[in-house]
Amino acid sequence: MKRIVLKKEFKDDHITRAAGERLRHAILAITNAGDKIEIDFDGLKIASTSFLDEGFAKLADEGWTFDKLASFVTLKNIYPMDKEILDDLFSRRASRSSKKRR
Amino acid sequence: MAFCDYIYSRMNTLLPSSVDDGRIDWAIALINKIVTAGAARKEFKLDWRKVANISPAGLAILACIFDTVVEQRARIKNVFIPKRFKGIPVVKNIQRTFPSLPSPSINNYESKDMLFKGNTSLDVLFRERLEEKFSDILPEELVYDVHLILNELMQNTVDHSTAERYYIYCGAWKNEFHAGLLDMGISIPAKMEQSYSCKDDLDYLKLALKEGTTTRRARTGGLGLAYFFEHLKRHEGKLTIVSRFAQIRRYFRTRRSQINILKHPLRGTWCFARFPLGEGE
Repeated sequence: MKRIVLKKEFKDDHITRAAGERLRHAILAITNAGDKIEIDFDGLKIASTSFLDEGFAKLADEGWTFDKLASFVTLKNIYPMDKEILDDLFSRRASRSSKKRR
Repeated sequence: MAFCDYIYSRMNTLLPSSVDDGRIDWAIALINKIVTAGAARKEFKLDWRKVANISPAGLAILACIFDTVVEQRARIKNVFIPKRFKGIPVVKNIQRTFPSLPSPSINNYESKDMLFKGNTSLDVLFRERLEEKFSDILPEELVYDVHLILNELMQNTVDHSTAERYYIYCGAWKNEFHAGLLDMGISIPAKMEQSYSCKDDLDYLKLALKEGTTTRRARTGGLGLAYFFEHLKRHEGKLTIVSRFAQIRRYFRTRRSQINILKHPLRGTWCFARFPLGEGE
C-alpha cells in the first residue's frame, strides 16, 4: 500500500483546489495501477471545502462509489469534521453523477 | 445644511462611534471621494471625535482606505483622535505619505482579543495563530468553522479577485466572534458578468451565493460560498457581503435578510461574519 502524509507533502497548501487536484491525481495514479493508498492526515485540520472537494469528492465524478473509496483509500487520523464534510461533498457529487447517468 | 457645513462634509469624514462592519457607508463613500477627486483636491480629514472603539473588521476597513489613499496619492489627516488609537499601525499609517503601496503587513495588528493581517497570497499561518490564540475560549466546532470560512474567502480572493492583497481578521468582540476578509480587487458582479447575465448587482451576488455557481474554467466547484452559509446557520451567525453596488446581510438567528443596492460602489469585495458567543466564552 502506498502512503501519503498530508502534513509533509501538502504542508504549504492544503487549502486550494490546485492542491486538491494534485492529491486526486496522486490517488488515481496509484489506484489505477491496482494498488491501494493510505492518506495520513496526521492531526492536520483541513477545513477547506475546496481541497476536500477537489481531492476526494471529485472521484465520484469519475464513477467512484463510497464502497470503492473505502476499499481503495484509507483515511488515517482524519479530523472528524473534515470527514463529515468529505462524506457530504462526495455524496453530493455521487448523487449528481448518478442522475446524469440515468 | 449651511454652505460651510457642506464644504466641511465634502472633504471631511466624521467617523461613527464604532468603526466596524455595522455601518460601512461612510467608508465606501470616502473611498469613492478619494478616487474621483481631482488631483488638486486629494486632501481629506478623518474626524475621530465620536469614535469609541474599532472592531477587528474596522481595522480591515481602515486598511482598504489606506490602500486607496496611497494608490490615489491622496493625503489623510486624523483629527480629534483619541490617544488610545494612535498606536494602532493602520491608524498611524493612514496619514503618512508613501511613494507606492508598501507591503500589506505594515498594518498588521494583534492584541489580546484580535488578529489582523494583510497578505498577498494564501496564509496558512493565520489559521495556526487563530487556533493558538482562541481555541481556549471558543468551542472546537466554532474554531473549525471559522477556519473553513476564512479558507474559502482566502481562496476566492486569491483565485478570483485579481487583488494584489487582501486583509483578514478575527477576534472576540462584544460577546461575538468576528471573522472576515476584505479585498479591493475585481468585484463579484464584475467577475460574474464574464459568465452570467443578471438584472443588477444584487442578482449577481445572490447567484454567486447559490450552490453550483462557478466562474472557474478549470477545477470547477461552486460549493464554497454556499457551503459556508450552512456553517454560519449552524451557529446562528450573521453574514454581510458587499461587492460593487450590492450588499446582502443575512441574520441566521432571526432568519432575516437585508439586501440593498448601495449608493456608491465598493471597488472590491468585503465579507464579514459574526458568531454569537455564549456565556463564559
